[in-house]
Amino acid sequence: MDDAPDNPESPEPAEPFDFLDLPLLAQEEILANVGLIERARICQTSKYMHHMIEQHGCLPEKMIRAHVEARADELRVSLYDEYRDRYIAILDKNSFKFKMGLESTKVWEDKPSYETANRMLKHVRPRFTYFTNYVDDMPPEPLTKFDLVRQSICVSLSFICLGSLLERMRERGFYKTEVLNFVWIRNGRSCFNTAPCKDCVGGYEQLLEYLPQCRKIYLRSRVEIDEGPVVLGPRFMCPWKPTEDSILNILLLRKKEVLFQPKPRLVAIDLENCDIEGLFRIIEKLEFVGDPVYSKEENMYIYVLCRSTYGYNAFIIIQNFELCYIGHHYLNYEHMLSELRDTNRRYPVVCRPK
Amino acid sequence: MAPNFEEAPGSSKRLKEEILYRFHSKEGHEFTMEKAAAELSGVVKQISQDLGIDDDESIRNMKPIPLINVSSEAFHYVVKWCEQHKTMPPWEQDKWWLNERDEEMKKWENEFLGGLTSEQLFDAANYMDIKCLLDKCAETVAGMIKGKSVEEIREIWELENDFTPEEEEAMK
Repeated sequence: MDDAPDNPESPEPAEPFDFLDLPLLAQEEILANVGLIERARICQTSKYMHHMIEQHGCLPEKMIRAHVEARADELRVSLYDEYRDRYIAILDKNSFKFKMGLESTKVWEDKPSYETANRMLKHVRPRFTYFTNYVDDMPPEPLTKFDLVRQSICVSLSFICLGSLLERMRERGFYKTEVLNFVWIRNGRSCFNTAPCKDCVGGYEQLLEYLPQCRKIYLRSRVEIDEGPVVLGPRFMCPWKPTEDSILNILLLRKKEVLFQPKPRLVAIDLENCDIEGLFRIIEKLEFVGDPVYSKEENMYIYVLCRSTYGYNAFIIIQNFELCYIGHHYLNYEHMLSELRDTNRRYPVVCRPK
Repeated sequence: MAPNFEEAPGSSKRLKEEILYRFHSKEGHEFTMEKAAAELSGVVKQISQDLGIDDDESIRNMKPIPLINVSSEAFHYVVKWCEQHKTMPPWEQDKWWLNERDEEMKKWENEFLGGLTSEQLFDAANYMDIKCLLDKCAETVAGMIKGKSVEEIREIWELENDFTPEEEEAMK
């Protein structure tokens, strides 16, 4: 084996090798880099690999395919941008890839390459104008740098959702003058879509750079949440999966003196990797706790953006205790609707898709 | 063809004026690596820190660092990787990959990794804690199975199918 060969386009070791001989860290790094379909297939290769993939939150392909085929229409609706009356992205049930953009002709690949990201640029850029419009002194098109685009594609569903929300907030005229709390609770390997957490970290952090009045609250570990101070600002990565209780601690009980002074008008919560059942249990508990911070009288807005364990995003927005159902978690779709109906008995529910 | 370690860029026949770390591979070959290149390795940095090595003279007087899990062949390639990347700013994951490498460097990386067997390189990158190399190796190996069937993945990664026929049927 000599030094660099003459013409390889992409690095692809030619010889098979024993995956299991690799260090565990290397195995995990590799699995973090493979796409959804590949994960589903890896799942079926051996019991060990099945276990490894489960650690990364994926289901056998047949389950995914069955659900996608059965619910193609619903999926389409799930990525509908009701504010602008157009589709943002469609999950192509054949390719299992998101098609994004107004024409929905571009493919959101599992892990966008440089070229893909460049192709995506013109489709993604309009979404970023959400943010550029918010603050007058913001430089024109500040979010068009390639690195941000690439990173943001990896988080673009919740990113877009947050953008839509903020646009509506802006229309109501109080965005600039109010404090926005953005609580980001994340698991270190929450991105199903092959993007290691580094992508989301970069994407979100840069997003938040453009929300200058947003108090950024990153939660690093259970220990800090339960025993130590909540960490305000800047960068933390979290190899920790939030539990319902710990989230509730953050939202309602122990740390509100940190989180909610001065009292914000909006809390954006990104519950990455929180399963949808857990989310509903949290919502139910919110009611039971009845914390005045969230009361309608105080005009408190809670937005919850959820990236599901199984990969497809579910977005739940709570506005004045109205649950606006924008996205859905298709694997648990019926269950979720059922939960929504139950919740509707307690809260006025606006349920989309149409 | 196996590299000639005596002639390799990391061999001990390097110029004396350079500030070089010395290493012993698993097989006992002695290698050297320029300071800036060697310090891409988290292990090297940690060892230096633990030993209080904080000036060039101390590095020169250091005994070779024994790399009991790194073969000479793998280390040969590690040296090449590190020397190629020694002028890069500190590793910072995506920012580093996206912003700091020009097209020429990317081409070099692809060419470099294109023909290597992954196990040794992974072992070396992992053992020496070279984040950028580990990350690139992972990306490369993940790319091997893109679009492959279950059976093909088993072949490429040498995985043994230990599912019972019933379990396999249930997954279809």
